[in-house]
Amino acid sequence: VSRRRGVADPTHSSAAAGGETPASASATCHCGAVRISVRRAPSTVTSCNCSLCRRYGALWAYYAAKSVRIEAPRGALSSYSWRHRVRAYYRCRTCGCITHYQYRKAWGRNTVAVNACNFGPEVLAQVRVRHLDGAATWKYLD
Amino acid sequence: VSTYRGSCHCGAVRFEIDTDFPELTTCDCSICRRKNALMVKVHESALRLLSDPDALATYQFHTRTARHFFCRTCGIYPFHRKRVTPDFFGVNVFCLEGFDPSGIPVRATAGAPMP
Repeated sequence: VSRRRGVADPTHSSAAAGGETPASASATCHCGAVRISVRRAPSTVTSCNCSLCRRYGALWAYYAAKSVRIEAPRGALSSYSWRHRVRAYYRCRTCGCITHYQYRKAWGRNTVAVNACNFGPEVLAQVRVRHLDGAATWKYLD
Repeated sequence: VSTYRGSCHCGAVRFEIDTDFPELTTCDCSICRRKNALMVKVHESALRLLSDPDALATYQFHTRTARHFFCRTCGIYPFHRKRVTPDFFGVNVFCLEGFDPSGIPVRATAGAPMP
């Protein structure tokens, strides 16, 4: 994950900044402070029924951390962790939109879960939603 | 009409509502689609905040009529004061204890076309 500090500037493409191919999809919080860019829009997302995910209403799209670019001004993100504090759930401090989560443990550092609700409706119209029973069995129900 | 207790995830925001769940709603406006919430509408007299009001952050935009609340600690959206009917709240039903949405009609409201 490359997290660029400073005011997010959509005219700064990944290609210009990092020599990568331009991002093909980006997810923004409501106020626009946080922008997450990925190379490919998600085709499958996960809806989890655990105590936290069901309240967040998040639809998680999993990415390799190195393929995700998170742009947010300094101090624009807040995070929440609970119980064993395995994951840190990030949100925009201003508008409260849940943006992504990352693992706090070394074994999970290669994954970023992006909240696909922050992509445009044209992205969500195409995705398959899988349902994870995070509340009990930790198995997919479909 | 029954009383349901609700909370954010960390417990800093606790509330109760009185409703018989005539329907649940979704909304496609710019903020509701990001929250992906399933909501029930209650009059302000049917919602009681049981915790410190300062635990809630507020976000407003556009007409700045609606007030979108979230917990300052865990970020959960528990309810918002509505724009067209500002004396009503939309409540995130997944914050409610012992609530099963199955069997309750869901109405998709069109928030996106609103000026």
